[in-house]
Amino acid sequence: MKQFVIILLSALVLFNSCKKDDTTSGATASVSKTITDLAADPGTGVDPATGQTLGTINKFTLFNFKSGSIISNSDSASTKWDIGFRGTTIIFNSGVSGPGTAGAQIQDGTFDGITTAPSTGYISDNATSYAIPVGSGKGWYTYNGATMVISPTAGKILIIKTADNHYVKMEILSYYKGAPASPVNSIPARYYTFRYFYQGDGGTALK
Amino acid sequence: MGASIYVAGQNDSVPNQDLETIFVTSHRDGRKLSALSTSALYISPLQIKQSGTTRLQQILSEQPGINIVPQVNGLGSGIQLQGFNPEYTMILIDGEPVIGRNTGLLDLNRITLNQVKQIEIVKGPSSSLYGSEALAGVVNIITDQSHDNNFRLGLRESSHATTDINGMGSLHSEHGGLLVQASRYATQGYDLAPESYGKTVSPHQQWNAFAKYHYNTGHHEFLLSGRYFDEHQQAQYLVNEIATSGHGLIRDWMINPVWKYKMTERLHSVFRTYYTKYDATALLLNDHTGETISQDDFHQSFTRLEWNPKYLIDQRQTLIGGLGYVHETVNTIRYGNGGGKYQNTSYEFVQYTLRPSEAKEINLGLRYDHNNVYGGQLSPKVSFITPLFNNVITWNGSIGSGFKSPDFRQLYLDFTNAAGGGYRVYGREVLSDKLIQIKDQISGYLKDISNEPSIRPESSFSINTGITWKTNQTMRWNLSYFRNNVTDLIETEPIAQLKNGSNIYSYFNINKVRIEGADLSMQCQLNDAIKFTGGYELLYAYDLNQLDLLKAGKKYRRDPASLSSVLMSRSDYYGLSERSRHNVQFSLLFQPKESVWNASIRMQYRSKFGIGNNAGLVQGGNVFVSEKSGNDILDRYDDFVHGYALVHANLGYNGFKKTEILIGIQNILNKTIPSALPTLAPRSMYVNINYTLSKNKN
Repeated sequence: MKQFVIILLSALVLFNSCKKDDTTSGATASVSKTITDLAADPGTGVDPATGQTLGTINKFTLFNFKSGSIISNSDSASTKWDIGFRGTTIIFNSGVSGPGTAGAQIQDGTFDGITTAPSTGYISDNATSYAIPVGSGKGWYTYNGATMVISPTAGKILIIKTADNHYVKMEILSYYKGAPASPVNSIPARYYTFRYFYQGDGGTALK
Repeated sequence: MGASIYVAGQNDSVPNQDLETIFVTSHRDGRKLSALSTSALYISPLQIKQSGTTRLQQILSEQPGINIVPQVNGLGSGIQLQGFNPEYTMILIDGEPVIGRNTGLLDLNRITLNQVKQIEIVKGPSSSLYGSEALAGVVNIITDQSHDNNFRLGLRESSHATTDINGMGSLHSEHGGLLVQASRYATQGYDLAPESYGKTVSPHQQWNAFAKYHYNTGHHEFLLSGRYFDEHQQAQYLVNEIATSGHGLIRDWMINPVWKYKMTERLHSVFRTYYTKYDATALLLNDHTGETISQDDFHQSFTRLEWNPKYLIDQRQTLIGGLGYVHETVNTIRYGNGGGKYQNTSYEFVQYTLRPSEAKEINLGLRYDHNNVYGGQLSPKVSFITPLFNNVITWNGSIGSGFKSPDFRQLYLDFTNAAGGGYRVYGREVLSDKLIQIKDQISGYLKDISNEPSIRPESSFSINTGITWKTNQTMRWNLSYFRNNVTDLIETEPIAQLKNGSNIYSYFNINKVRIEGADLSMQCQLNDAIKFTGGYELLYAYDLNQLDLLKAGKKYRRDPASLSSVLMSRSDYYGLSERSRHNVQFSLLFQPKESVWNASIRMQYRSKFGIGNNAGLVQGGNVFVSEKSGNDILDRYDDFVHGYALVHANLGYNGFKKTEILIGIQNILNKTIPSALPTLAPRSMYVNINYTLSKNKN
């Protein structure tokens, strides 16, 4: 019981620290951040008839969780990046996507409710499928054929092992510029808003 | 209105006289409306006349507890009865089913009210008498027959360049007569989104003809009726930015010979034969090149033979039986090569009635349907009515089951969506053959269908009960409760993945829903001139699978402010989409005795409701869909269509000798919801002029 109280106390401390953008405490720096409008090859416009994005350059936007910053595409062959975004496709620095040993899995739950990363079950990108499957209802999003809108599926939390073997939980909040509560097809898409927690000490605790 | 209907209309201006009306649909045998053991709605000739409408859909939409809901794909709309989707209500004309559920529901604008005597609506499952489809209830349109020699000509001119010309003539002699009716309806349609190409409702023209001959010798009665309907539609669409024009043609007709024979005082027989055919074709052409972009057709036929004996055991007991055979065919290019398919159903039913006293009755009914595709289905029903507290209150109730057989689409569809990524949908009967045929294109299987039982009918178990309170000669209240548990609802589910990444879907018995609610209605003759009717319906409709997931803590929603996922609670679940929690309806009819004027004001209100994922393909503007968190469930934080009210009014004058005039406005508040309910027509004004020549009236 005493142990439980301590866990609870430390959870409270961490919860408070989550409100700050960065938590740095020496060498083991945990990061809790919300990234808004990360452009994932947004292109130049949308074909009104098909909903297809026009003028895309077909390149992934690479991101590092520890620094919370975008990594230049020229570093794609390095382990400087953990995750990459292009349209609805998400890649991890692993397998066919990069030289790292990153991996990911999806858990059902809430961001705050998931407090421990599983020690196994991380999938890397391979030639036939990505760690986070592409397609409506298969991975992180649901596509509505009538409204032609992509919604992040509620309750899908990405648990990630980074290129530097740290654990991250991540929730995608929006796929549209400005993260509107009720997106419509006319709002520019392929802009990720997501929040994440990066465990700096290398352990599996995600809080 | 014809003279006969007109006279009948004046008779029922006092609400309690409606109760003497003979209602046939609930028991396939005449019952006084006041002695019905099942929940029912009755639309009188006067109501039809005062509504000023010539279409079935409009008059149904004004009844308490009935909502008009858009069809999946936005192609027309149907009625929601007791919270069920339109395909679960059987639509009959003189007891015979109307066919042409082209993509699920019937277009009720096909049915005109010109020759209609009354409309009977049974709420609750009626499969014990009518078989498949009668899950939510039955709408039976009772057509008129000749009563005297008369001729009527009617003209209805309304907004959106809409003209309805109709003529009816009847010849009558001592033993029988002939009634003939024909009408033409043409409209330019309307456009709720002028900024986009094409109209919301496209221009269309309809022809409608009906004839009924009857001859009665006392022991024998012969009835022969026929109906013809024809509709042309011209639509304009943008398909991938290319201007196209659509040409739609619908034609349907039926013939219905009936022979009623009183073999003895106690044994009566009715022999019914019925044939109906429905043909629809649609063509989409490129406006510039004239080439065909898409083509669709749907041909359906329905043949039924039925023997319906009735035996009066004694003064208090009646036995009704039925023995019938149905042959149904569908032919459409949607079912691929050799698209012609058929189903045969044979059925038997029996209904025993015990009537211990004039106002007390118990009915036991049982029907068995045997179908060559889905097998057998047993449908029992028990209903009762009894007076309480010295006849001030009557209590009625029914318990029964209903079913809906898998439709042809769910059995035989062969569909490849070329535009939407190449996904395929196969009907269950053709599925295993198709999977073998295209096995080289399949990358993996998602569901093992080898041990899957064949598709079953959707079935329901329902309770309906109500009390009616006649406070005095001029006021009547009714309070009723209903609950429907529906299982084996058929839904599509992915079963395999193609190498191109798309899925193959088929139909399976998946969903379970529970719909329950309460109705409160009242009718009141305020004075000699004014009649008030009001109704309220409370409705709760839930997907039981979703409730299980909620209970297990497996459903999440998105918080509208932070956008983060939140565990969903039971109270966050609003229920099935397209259902309003509250429905209110009232009407005021002014019909002063001895006056040449009459008027009516009618209002309907429905509270907020959600729109499901499939409602799409609406012309122009943004399509409205409630779902925004990808959780496949309507939660309170999704987008809703706001509640709205529709108000209609009209004024009639019959001071001329042979001519009646009615002017009115539909949808006075001009409420439209283009994105969610495109078929909700904007405000329109109309003038009806009816000229009647009647031998008896002159």
